Amino acid sequence: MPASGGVKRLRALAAALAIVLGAHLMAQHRMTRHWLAVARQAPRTVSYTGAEELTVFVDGRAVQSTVRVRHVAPDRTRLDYQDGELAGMIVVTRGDRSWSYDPRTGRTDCSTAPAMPTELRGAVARALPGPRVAGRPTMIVHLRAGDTVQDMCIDRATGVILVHRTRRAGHDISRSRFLEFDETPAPSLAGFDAPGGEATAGAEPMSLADLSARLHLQVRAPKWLPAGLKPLGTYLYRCPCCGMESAQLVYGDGVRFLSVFEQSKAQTSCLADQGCCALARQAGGCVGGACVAGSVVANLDHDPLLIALGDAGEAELRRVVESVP
Amino acid sequence: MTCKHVQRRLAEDLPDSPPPRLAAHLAECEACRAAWQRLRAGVAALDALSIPPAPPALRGRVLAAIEATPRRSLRLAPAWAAAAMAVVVVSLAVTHRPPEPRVAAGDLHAGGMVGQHAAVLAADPLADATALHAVSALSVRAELGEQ
Repeated sequence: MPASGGVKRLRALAAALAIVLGAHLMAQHRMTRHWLAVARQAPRTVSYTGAEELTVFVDGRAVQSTVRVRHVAPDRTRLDYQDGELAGMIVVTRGDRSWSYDPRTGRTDCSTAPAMPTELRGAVARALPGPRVAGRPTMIVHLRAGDTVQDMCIDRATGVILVHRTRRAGHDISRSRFLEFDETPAPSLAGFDAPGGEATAGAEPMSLADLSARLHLQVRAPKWLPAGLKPLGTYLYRCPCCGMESAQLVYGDGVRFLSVFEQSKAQTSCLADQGCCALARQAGGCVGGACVAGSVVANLDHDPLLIALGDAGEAELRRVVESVP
Repeated sequence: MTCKHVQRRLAEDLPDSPPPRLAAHLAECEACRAAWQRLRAGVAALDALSIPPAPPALRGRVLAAIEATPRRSLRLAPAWAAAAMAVVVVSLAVTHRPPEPRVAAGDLHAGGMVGQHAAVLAADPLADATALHAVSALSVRAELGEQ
């Protein structure tokens, strides 16, 4: 039976609405990708100084600090944590290397970590006009994958991210916000030496084959990961307490990140009931499931031992750990 | 390594020479160094004590006393032995479960790993490096017992 004139008009209206909605979503997607690309490129081209207020939630408590930030394009950054529990901490980054000095422990940890090839994979993303931050107009970019949400306010003039907020399962994980921000067209290169004393080796990029040879075990990747997560890098991990070495496999989707650690059962001092790390645990130093990075799950019977942690629920991490051959 | 760690370590074990991390702490901490020296001095004093020889007749008297002690028999009547064995077998069958993999969550001490996870992610240009470096440092503190 031929459709009546009213039905035809309704169909035409629905088709027009679908086209408008599709065009709007595509424009949103393009705009979000544009602002993320601008923010990714900004540190390579913009030098600046500023002061950030920072709150991180660790082990169920809020740790706050004001942080002086100095960045010299393309790849030098110095962070001076000025008050609170983190007072006196200094982080200097030069290219792929960063030195983190903590006066509380007296340690300077040196990590080598190249920027990872993160892309948004399956994340909900949108960009909207944002509030003024440190007196500057911004764009808000909202990203969501699983139960992890990231919101950023991006400076419209420079592309520098002025506000970061990360939430997981409805709870704040961290917040940082620039209170002052100034571009520095002719910055000084002084002040980017490694802080503190002799540095302790931290993260070190290493291939799976080299990790397997060094650790005398067959490092194997998990066969199951939460949807959208892809391999981002593999690293050598050294326990800051006893020096025990493990392999670290990092996965991410641009919003969520998790790590799988594998260590030979012959070196179990960090998880056994003896050794220096157990002393820290007895002293109440455990950061376990309440840590800011999310949950921690381990298979203590597998050889090598497996530990997974990051932006995923306990059930997902358990499935990751159980999928390692 | 903190003073608390050192005190626990010394209470558990007193090696002849301190391992490198303990030696580094002792070099810096006068109180722990004094404790270490007191304990080593005590061990040295004990080592220096001479053990007096036993009287020659003592060995013979001890062996004679052992020989004279009546030995208790553990023999059971066959029926009672069979019944006891049956109880043991049934108990094991009821209570035994094959061991499950110890997949633990939440109570692990993984501060150092959490710290490296955060430090690696801080390299991403879109990451909140200020927060991630803070998390890394706080996690390493937890690993070292420096809350």
